[in-house]
This record gives sequence, structure tokens and C-alpha cells, in this order.
Amino acid sequence: MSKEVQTLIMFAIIVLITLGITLWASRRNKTTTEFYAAGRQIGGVQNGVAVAGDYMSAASFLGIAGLIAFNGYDGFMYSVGWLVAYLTVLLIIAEPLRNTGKFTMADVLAFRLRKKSVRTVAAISTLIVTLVYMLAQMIGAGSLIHLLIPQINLNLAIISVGLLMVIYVIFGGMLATTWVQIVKAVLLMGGAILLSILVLAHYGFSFTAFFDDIFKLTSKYCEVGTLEKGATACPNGAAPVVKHYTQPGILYHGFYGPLDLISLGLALIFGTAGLPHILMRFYTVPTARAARTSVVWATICIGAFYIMTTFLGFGAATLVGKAHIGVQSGHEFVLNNNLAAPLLAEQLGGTLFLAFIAAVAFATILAVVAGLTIAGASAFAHDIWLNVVKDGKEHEREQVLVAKITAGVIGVVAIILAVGLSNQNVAFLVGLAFAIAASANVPSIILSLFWKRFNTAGMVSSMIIGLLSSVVLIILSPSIMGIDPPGTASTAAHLIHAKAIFPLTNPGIVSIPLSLLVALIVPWFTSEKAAKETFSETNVRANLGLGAEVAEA
Amino acid sequence: MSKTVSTGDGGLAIPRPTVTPQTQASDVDWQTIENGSDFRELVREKRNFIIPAAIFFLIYYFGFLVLVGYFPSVVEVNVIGNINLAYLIALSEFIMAWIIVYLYVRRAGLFDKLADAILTKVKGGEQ
Repeated sequence: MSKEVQTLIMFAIIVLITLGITLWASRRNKTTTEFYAAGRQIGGVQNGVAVAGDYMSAASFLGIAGLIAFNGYDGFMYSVGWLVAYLTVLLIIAEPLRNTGKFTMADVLAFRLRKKSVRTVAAISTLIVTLVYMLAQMIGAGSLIHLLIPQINLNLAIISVGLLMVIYVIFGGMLATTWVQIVKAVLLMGGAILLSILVLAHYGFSFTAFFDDIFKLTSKYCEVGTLEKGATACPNGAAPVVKHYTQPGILYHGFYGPLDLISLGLALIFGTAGLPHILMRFYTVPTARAARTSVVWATICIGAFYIMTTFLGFGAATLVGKAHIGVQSGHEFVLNNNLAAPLLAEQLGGTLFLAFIAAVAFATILAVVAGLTIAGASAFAHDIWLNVVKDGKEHEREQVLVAKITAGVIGVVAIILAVGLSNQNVAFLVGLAFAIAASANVPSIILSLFWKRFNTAGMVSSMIIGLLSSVVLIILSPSIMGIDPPGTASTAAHLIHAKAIFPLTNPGIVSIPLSLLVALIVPWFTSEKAAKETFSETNVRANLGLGAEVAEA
Repeated sequence: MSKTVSTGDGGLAIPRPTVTPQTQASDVDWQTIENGSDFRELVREKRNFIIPAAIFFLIYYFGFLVLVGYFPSVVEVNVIGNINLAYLIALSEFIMAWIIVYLYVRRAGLFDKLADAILTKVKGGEQ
């Protein structure tokens, strides 16, 4: 049986399992609480695994393994940041959010502040973050499928991912989305553990022998300018800097490198606490205490997984070799760092293991886009439709219907955009999603929970400034602007062919403090009596859970 | 802590919040609870843990990024075979995160106990 057929069969098994879950969940998907929050019946531990699953997206499984395989130690920086970010969620966000909110991030903000404007801005920000994040995942899924099974074309792959995610959400709601996420998280952890053991076994379970091999790998770069392919000296005549794979600096060097590293760190540490599909998970558990348990379990799973990226990434670098990570396209071998983990699996366990790991990556993408779809649908149906258009007059069945229609619309829009952008390099989209979440959402969430003086004007201006500054800075950054050498493939080319105006790839270091500053300054010039009066209620609710949403019987 | 407002005779004079609460808790006098000594103790206990813990992990994490970014030669020193300081510090970030999670969960038992005591009092007073 060929590699393609084996992969296809594995993909089909995954799809059948997830559709089975959706069918089972579809019978418990009538009320809004069931649709948005799985009836608040998910256990703390299960939800923790689901949160971990939402977080271990294709970007972290395929992306980090690839970043480490291509850039050594610097790639591991992502793993560290993505885990430490959970401390922000645990200490500051999870329990107060569960205690004060209902379904969405905007619930927490709208509690104290003028409802309509706050909900509208928060919902728009949620929709942008989810859409941007979703596009990155869908295009990633499309390229993965196309690379492994060349017979399926890229657009067809994107469309099938889009259709599946809409089916999960419309028929299965949050319950199906959560269980698909749990199944996938278990598969992903299992796959990563197996791969790690195989890598270590190759080195006779000697950690030092593994690192000896990593140390032998090197990468070169220029202090000034870029090192041309095949050149032995830099454009200015200086010898290139040689770094071992265990040493920092391959990705982040030069004048702006360390600053970019810190900027990325800021976006990760604060962005996680503003990702709508992660925040929404805390409403699926019965109490704030269960929300705490979720974060604990998520932190354990995510930490273990990201430590294993050492084996996946460095293992791919030593055992497969950077030069062999990619696909044969005609006469040319095209490097693709997303394939580091799947190719490592093929090297160590043959084509069947490759098929399994590819199917797990596929399941990962399906589960994450489904979670994003439901977050986007709830932002529109619950925040804009119910609370702004319908003035909060709830009609249960109409609500669920609107949310399902929204999920369908989001799916169609995402498919169209993803097909349109499918030939572009979209790696920056995930960074953008984190940067927008960190700059637009997080200062407002934290200040509305902890600062009595905070008001509507402060929140709206901080969200808009955070949103605009991160989007504009990304457009002006080297992710979008750059001068490509002649003959660059369209998938690797920059969208704007000019020298970048903003030197950092991640805008966090500018946009997050800017948004926070606006949020801290504006309330001193605008007074809003209601916002101060309702602080007592928010404060008591957040700390005691008095009047918090309860589980559906 | 927020500015304390004179609660007068049990907070009856305080205007009702203009925002409609989302559940059946509309009869609760939030400000009286907020100004109670037991609630303030809960908030104080929480802050005494959360603020130092947050400051510690932010310094530990961003200190690490500054070290790796600006002083690579310091962390490139090999410690065990070819395993260098940079990798060991990165691993210590994971351990640091798990320790803070563990300490928080242990301390949260106290928060829960204080919160339960206040809730029993509030709910008992309503009946």
C-alpha cells in the first residue's frame, strides 16, 4: 500500500471518529448554554485537556518542531513562552472570568461598562482574532494534506477542512467541539511521547549523546546583511558567524534580534489570556474551582508537550537533517519546516507512523478551527445579535439558530479567504492573532476586573488603539514588507515588495504598552458614575462566585 | 483597595447598580459585602499571593529573554557534556511554572475557605 493510501485511510479514521462524536453530541444541543458552553457539564480535568488541545495547535506541533529543526535553540523559545503564558491565565484570568461571565469575553467587560459599545468593540476584536488564527490553521492544513497526498489539491483540502469544522459546530456545538479536542489532545500527546521515546532510543536513552549530536550541527548568519545561498562571506566581506544548534542567536541576532525576542515573549505571555477560544473554555465547567483545575491540568499537559518539542525538533534536525525536510516538487526539492515532525516519524517508524502523525496533525487542525468557529459564532450571536440588536431579550431557540447560521457564515468566509490567500506565506498570521489578543483584549479584561476607575471610554479607546496599532505594525514589519531575491517562490515571497518600515516581526513591545497606557490615561479625563458603582458587584462576584452561572440540570 | 463608602444603616442608602445582573442575584447588596472585613481579608490574602507570584514569574521569564538575547556568551557555556546553561535555564522556566501552579493550588484552599464562609453568611442573611 502506498504512503498516500495509508495516510488517506488514517485521515478517514480520524474524520469518522470525530463525526461519531458530533452525532452523539447533536442530541444535547438545544439550549444556548448547551450550544455555547456544553451545558457547563464538562469536568475540570477533561476541560484542562481540552484547553491544552486548543493550545497545541498545528502552529505548535508542526510549527515549533520545524522552527527548532531549522533554527536550533531559538525555536525552543516559543515552547517556553507558550507555557509560561498559562501563569497569567491561572493567576489573573480564569477564576474571575468564570465567576462573572456567561459565554464570551465581552460578558466580563459588559458587566461594568456601557453594554452596547463595549460588546460591539469586543465582539469585533474577537471576530478578527479568531478569523486570523483560523486562516493560518486552514492554510496550514491545506498545505499539509497537499504535501502528503499530492493528488488532493490545495483548495480542495482547504474546503474540506472548512466544511468539517462547520459540521462539528452546527450539529455538535461546544460539547462535540470539546470532545473532539480531548480525543485529539490524547492522540497528539501519545504521538509526541512515542516519537520522543524513539528519538531517545536511537541515542541509547542517553541525553548527553543526543546533545553531542545536536551540538555538531551548526548554522551561519551575517551580523550585517543576509548570507546569500552558497556564499562563504557576508555582503560586507566579513566572515559569517557560526552558531551551534544548542546556542541561542540563530534566529534572533543583530541589533533588533533580542528586542524581537522580548516582543514575541510579551505577545505570548499576555496574548494567551486574550484568545477568545481559550477563554470560552472556562465557561464549560460547573464552577470557578473547576476552572482552576482546568488550568492546572492544561499547564501539566502543555508543559510536558513543549518539553517534548526538544526531541521532535532537535531529533528531526539530527536524524532527518535540515536539508531533507521538505518535499520533492518536480526536479526541485522544496524545504518546508512544517514537515519536520511527520518526516521524523517516517524516519523512525516507517510510512504507517508517518500516516499516523500526519492524521494527528490533521485532527489537531480540525479541532482547533472548530473551537475558533464557535468562539466567533458566539461573539456575533451572543454579543452583537442578542445584546446589541435584540437589546438582551433572549429567545432561546432563535439564539441557537442565529449562532449556527453565524458558524456557517464564518466557515464560508474563512474558506473563501483561505483559498484566496493559499499561495501566500501565512506564518505571520498566528503571531498577529496573539499580538491583537494581547494588545486589544488583555488590558481591558484585567483593568475591568481590578480597577475601580476603569470606564467605557478607556476600554473602547484601548481596544481600538491595540487593534489598529498591532495590525498596522504587522503590515509595516518584515513579515509583510521585504525585498525578495529574484526567483523566490510565491509561497515564500513578501506581500509588499519594499524595505520594512518597522524593524520587528512582532509588534507586541510597542502595541501592548500603548494600549495599556491608553486604558490607564483615558479614564482620568472621562467620568462614568455607573462604571464605579458596578465595580463592587464585579469585585464581589469575581472573588466569591456569588450569582455565577450554574450548570444546567 | 477601592475607596470605602459610608455604608450607613447596612448599606440601604446605596443606589442599585444600573446594570441588570445576569442571574437571580439582584437582591444582593454588593457594596456591603465588599466593605465587610471578611471580604477584605479574602481580597488581601489573594493579593498577597498573586501580586508577588506574578511579579516573580514576569521577572524570571523576561530576565531569561534578556539574558539569552543580549548576553548569549554567558549562557553558551556547556554544563553537562554539550548541554549548555541556555537549555538548562529554559527547562527551569517549565519547572518554575509548575511550582507556581502547585503553590497557587495549595494556597487556593484558603481562598475557598474564606469565600465559603462569606457565602454562607450572605445566603443565611437573605432567608
